Amino acid sequence: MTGLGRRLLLLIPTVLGVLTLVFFLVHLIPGDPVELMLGETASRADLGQLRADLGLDRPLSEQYARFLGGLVRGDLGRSFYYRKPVLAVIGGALPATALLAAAAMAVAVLVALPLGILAAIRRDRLPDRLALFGSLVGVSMPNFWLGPMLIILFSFRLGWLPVSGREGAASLVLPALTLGTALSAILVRMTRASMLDVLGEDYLRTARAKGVRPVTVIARHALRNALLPVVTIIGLQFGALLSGAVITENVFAWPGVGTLLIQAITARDYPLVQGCVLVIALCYVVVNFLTDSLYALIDPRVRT
Amino acid sequence: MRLPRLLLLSVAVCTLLGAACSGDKPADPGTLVVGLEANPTNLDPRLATGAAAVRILPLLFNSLLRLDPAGEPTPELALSWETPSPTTYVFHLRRGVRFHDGRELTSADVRYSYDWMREPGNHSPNQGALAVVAAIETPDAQTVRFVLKEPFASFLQNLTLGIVPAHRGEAQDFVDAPVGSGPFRWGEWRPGERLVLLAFDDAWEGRPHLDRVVFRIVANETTRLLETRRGRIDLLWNNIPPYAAPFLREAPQLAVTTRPGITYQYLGFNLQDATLKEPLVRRAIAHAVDRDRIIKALFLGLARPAATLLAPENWAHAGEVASYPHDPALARRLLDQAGYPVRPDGSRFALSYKTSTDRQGIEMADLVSEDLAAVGIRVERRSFEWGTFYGDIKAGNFQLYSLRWVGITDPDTLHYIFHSASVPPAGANRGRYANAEVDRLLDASRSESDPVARRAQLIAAQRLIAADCVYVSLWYPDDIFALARRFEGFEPYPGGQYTSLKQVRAAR
Repeated sequence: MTGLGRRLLLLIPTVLGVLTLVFFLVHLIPGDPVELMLGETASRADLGQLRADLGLDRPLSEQYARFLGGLVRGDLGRSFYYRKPVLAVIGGALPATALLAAAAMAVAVLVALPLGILAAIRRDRLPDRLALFGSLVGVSMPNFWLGPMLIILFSFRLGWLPVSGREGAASLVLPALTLGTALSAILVRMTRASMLDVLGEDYLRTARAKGVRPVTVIARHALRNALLPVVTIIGLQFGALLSGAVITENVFAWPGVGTLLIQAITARDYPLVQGCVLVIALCYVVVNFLTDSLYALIDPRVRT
Repeated sequence: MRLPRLLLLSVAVCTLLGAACSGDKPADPGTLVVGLEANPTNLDPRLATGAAAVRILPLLFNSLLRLDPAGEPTPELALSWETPSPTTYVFHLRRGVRFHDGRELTSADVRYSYDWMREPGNHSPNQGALAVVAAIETPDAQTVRFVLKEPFASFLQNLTLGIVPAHRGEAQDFVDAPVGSGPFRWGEWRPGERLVLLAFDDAWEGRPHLDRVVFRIVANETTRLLETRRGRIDLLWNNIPPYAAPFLREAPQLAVTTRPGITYQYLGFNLQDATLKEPLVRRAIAHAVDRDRIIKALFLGLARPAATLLAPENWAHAGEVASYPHDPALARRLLDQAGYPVRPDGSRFALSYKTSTDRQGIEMADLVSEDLAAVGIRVERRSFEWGTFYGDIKAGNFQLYSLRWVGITDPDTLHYIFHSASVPPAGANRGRYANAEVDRLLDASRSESDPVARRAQLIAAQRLIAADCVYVSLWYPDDIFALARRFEGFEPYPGGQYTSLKQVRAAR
């Protein structure tokens, strides 16, 4: 079996572990979905009947077995709150989150790579200092603060961009900036450090000595080697990006999976919570898997 | 050349994104945008729970009766009604009411809707409230007769539930595009983002002036306020914190209106708690709270002090009940008397105070705690996420908690909150209060057909409840709403409903 195939198989227990943990966590936290659904006027009999209909009166182990059974058949159950299949509810929210995450990733990479490279080749000079300082600031700003600040500046004072919502490309700018800033700050440092490592290598000295133009040295010889750890970090940070999306979506009224997840937890909508977590966990492991696979593209030595 | 190209690309993308940024579009005179704080998850009136949905439903659906802005039942689908006996209500329906799909609304639809909610297998949240109904009969297409199991004076309050068409009600996708007979019909629904309702041309009350109402869901308070101030939300109602009123007033396009509200905020006691079951302790706590200070600090003066659940506007409001003016010296004396002297550490005893994670609730808890500390009661404030908090107070797992009752117009709510048989899940007597005389008065008021006698019973019950200090009555916060000046005619309803949007029009 190839390395990649083995890794692909390993994803299954990872996702299953996450789901098991979440299943028991959401069922064990206080709060009763049935009471939240039926409201205060419901009688004990009504509450009991709905509990039975939803299978919530069964032992937790049985509920868990049923949940796994459904999962195998691709059935995540019905949302208590929306009274619709979980997959349909999540399917409606997923594209928005995917778009936001992709845009944030694009912002992060487009800002961080040039800055990191610039900082490395102008080491200890003004661009480097500025990049390092900027990255410190960027990584220190929490999303729930940065979001409103960007709104106040760009939407409120300057009036360039919409405050929130999802109408056209313009409304994507601020959420993507908010979500991408922290990742970008980390990537700047990573790119810089990685470039510095590579810039000291003998083969670069050789390349320069034989008269290769500096730009080509950086772009063709150095960058490709320096990118490997950067790609790893991008993959690893994808999880942080998804959790950041929960907050960013709230600030910008962005109708994605994060918004849905918060709502589902508040309503104790167990199937929907599990569905959202499944989707988020899947995204995370798949992105990490793809990151691993990307190594092979960037660095032929990794190919097995 | 790779590097400069990468830089160029970054710059180009940023510029493109910047160029795509348009300013705000000019406002469409026929479209009104409402800012909502929560997603209306289910807009089937038979199943809807949650304030967001319940407030929007009157725009899509009609009911037999509706509550007017003062909370009184008035005719809607029912033109008139009579009560031949205390357990029989006969309603005569308006003719020529059409559903959004063109079919006429008849008594069969009314019976269908109510029978559906009464059917246990359907799990309607309204099933409990309709338990008093024995049968629903439809002698003809325009007449509906409700037969009750026992007399129930507040029954009319239950007839404000939306009527759905019998020929559509069983469709699996009904909830995706509900059909009613209300002034607006279903437009577009993007969950978590927006709900669009369109004017219904054949509405029996006449076509609404607005062409479209757009409900935008903006959960974040700061964002919602900024959007409104910026002019992208035309109406905010139910969700303006007092501190934000001056901020919104600065926007020239907005008219911010405040008026006395009937939402009732209170401190709840657990009467089974060893310390709090002592009435002297409860009275001491009530005297320790400085309502005026908190109203000034937290509400910027936009609230009225309260002494009973029913606001002064309610026909059953008890004017003269025991009130507990701020008097720390008296509070200390009462605590001494109750056997809680000041201990060497400076305090008398400690209490835990539960609240939700709502910001205003937490700030309020802190201010109340300061007041209680001043008389020697150490308060440990604990805030919980809503589901946990709600579960705890229903289970009686608290000493002190604070919460509010929103839009209470039906005095029978007293039975629901203070009758000894109303301990959850039967009702909301979370503090486990039991007073035989209060029970008797509230039971009697349910079957009393004479309004004057019923009022006397309800007032007597409120006096006993206040004297027992079951709750610390705090205040009724004012209703605050902001409406773009380009519209006029909005009227706030006590339950927070958006009903009056059907009469909102472009300002002349």
